[in-house]
Amino acid sequence: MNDSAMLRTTVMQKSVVAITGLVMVLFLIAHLSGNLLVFAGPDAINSYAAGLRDVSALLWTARIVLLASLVLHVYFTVRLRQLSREARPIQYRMQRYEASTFASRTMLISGLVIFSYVAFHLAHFTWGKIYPQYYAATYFLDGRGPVHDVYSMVVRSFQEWWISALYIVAVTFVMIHLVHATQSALQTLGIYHKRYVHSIRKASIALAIVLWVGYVLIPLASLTRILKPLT
Amino acid sequence: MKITLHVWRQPGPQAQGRFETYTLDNISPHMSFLEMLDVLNEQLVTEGKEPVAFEHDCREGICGSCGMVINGRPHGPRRRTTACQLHMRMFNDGDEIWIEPWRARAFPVIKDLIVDRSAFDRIIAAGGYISCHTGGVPDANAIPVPKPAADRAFDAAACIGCGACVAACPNASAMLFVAAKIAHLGSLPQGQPERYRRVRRMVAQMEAEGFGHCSNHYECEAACPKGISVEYIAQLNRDLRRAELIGEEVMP
Repeated sequence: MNDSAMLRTTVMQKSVVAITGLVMVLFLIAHLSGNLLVFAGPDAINSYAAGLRDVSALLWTARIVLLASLVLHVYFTVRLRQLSREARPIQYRMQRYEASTFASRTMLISGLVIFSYVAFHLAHFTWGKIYPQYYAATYFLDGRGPVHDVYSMVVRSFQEWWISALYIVAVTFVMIHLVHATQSALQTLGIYHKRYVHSIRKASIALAIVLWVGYVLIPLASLTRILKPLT
Repeated sequence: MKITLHVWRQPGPQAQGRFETYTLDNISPHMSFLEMLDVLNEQLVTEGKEPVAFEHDCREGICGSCGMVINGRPHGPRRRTTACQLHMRMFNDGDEIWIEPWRARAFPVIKDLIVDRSAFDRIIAAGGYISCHTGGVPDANAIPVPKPAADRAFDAAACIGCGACVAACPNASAMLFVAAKIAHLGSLPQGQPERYRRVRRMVAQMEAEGFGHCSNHYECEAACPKGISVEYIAQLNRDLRRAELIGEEVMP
C-alpha cells in the first residue's frame, strides 16, 4: 500500500469531493458579498472590482484553486456515481425513502446543471462574450480614472429577461445542491457529534436559502428597475 | 385479515426472477410477518408448488438472518424492527404487500428472498477482529475501559449484520455495517493496536466486494433495525484518513 494509491478508496475520493465542495461554498459566500455591493451604487462595486484586479496574484491564486476544485469535484463525483450505479444492477420494484431528500438524490443532476451554467456565466461576465456592448462600458472613478463599469454591465445584462431567468434557474439549482452539500461534506470529513449534528444540518439548509435570496435579489432588482443603469 | 402478496420468485442465482401474486385469507393480526409467510408456504406445499425461500433463524430480532424489503423498506414499515419482529397488525385488511430480496451486486440472490451475504463475512475476516494471545483467563477488570468508550463500543456492537443498510442505501453502500465494526473494535483499548490497519483492510475489502460509496443519504440509519448511527461512518472516515495520510502505526 504505497502513498500514490492514497486516493484509491471511495472514502478518500469522497474526502476530496468534500474539501473541494467546501472551497466552492466559501467562494459562493465571498462572491455574493462582493456582488451585493451593487446595491451600494456604482462607486462601491466598481472600485471593489478594480481593487480585485489590483491584487492580481491573489486573484489568480483564487481562480486556480477554484478551477482545480471544480475539476476535481466533478471528476470524482462522476466516477463515484458510476461505481455506485454498478453496485445495484437490479432496481427495486418499490422503494420508499425515509431519510434521504430530493436534494440528496439529485446531486449529480443539479451539479451538472450548475457546471454547465458556470461556463455560460464566465462567458458572459468574465470574458464578455454574451453582451460585448455591456461589457465594454467604462466608468470614471474619482481619484483613479476610468475603470471597467461592472455596475452597468450587471444591471443592463439582468434587464435582459432571459439572462435573469437563466440566472435564477441556475441559482435555484445551486440552492438545491447546497441543501444537501454542506452538511454532507462535514459528515464526510468526520465532523459529527450528537450535540451539534442537527444544528449543522439546519444551518446547511439555512445557508442554501440565504445564498439563494442574496443571489436572486440582484436580477430581481434589475428587472424591476430598483437598480437603474447609468445613462 | 385478507392480504395480497407480490413476492419475488427466483429459482436460482442465474435464473431470471419475477413477481408472483398470492392471496391469503384469515391472516391473524397477531401473526409475525414470517408466520404469515409460513402460512403462505403451507398453502403452496398443499397445492404442490415450490414454497417461498426466505432466511430466518432466531425469530427474536437478534440474529440478522431475516432480511427482506417489504413495501419498499428493508424489514418493513416499523422502525427499529427486524422482519421477524414485525407483526401483521402493522398492516390493514385488504393490503397489498410487495416483498423483494436485498438488491445489491455484492449480495447475489441464492433463491427467492435469500441473498448471499458472505461479502460481510469476508469484510470481517479482512480486519474485523482483535489479535490476542490465548492462555490463562485474564482478570476481568485487568484492562480499564472508560465508561463512555464502553458505551460507544456497545452501541456499535448492536449491529447484527443483517444488511438492511446496504438494501436501503440508494448506492448499495455497506458503510454503516463496516463503520459499526470499526467503531465497536476501535473504541476499546483491546482494539487499538490494529485500529488503523483494520480500517484500511476492511474498507479495501468492502470496495473489492462491489458495494457502492457513501453519499450521506442517511437511509441506512433509518432502516437499521438496531438504530446504528451514521456517527460511526464519520469515525470510519476519520480513522481511514488518519491511516492513509499518517500511517497504520498507533502513536502512544
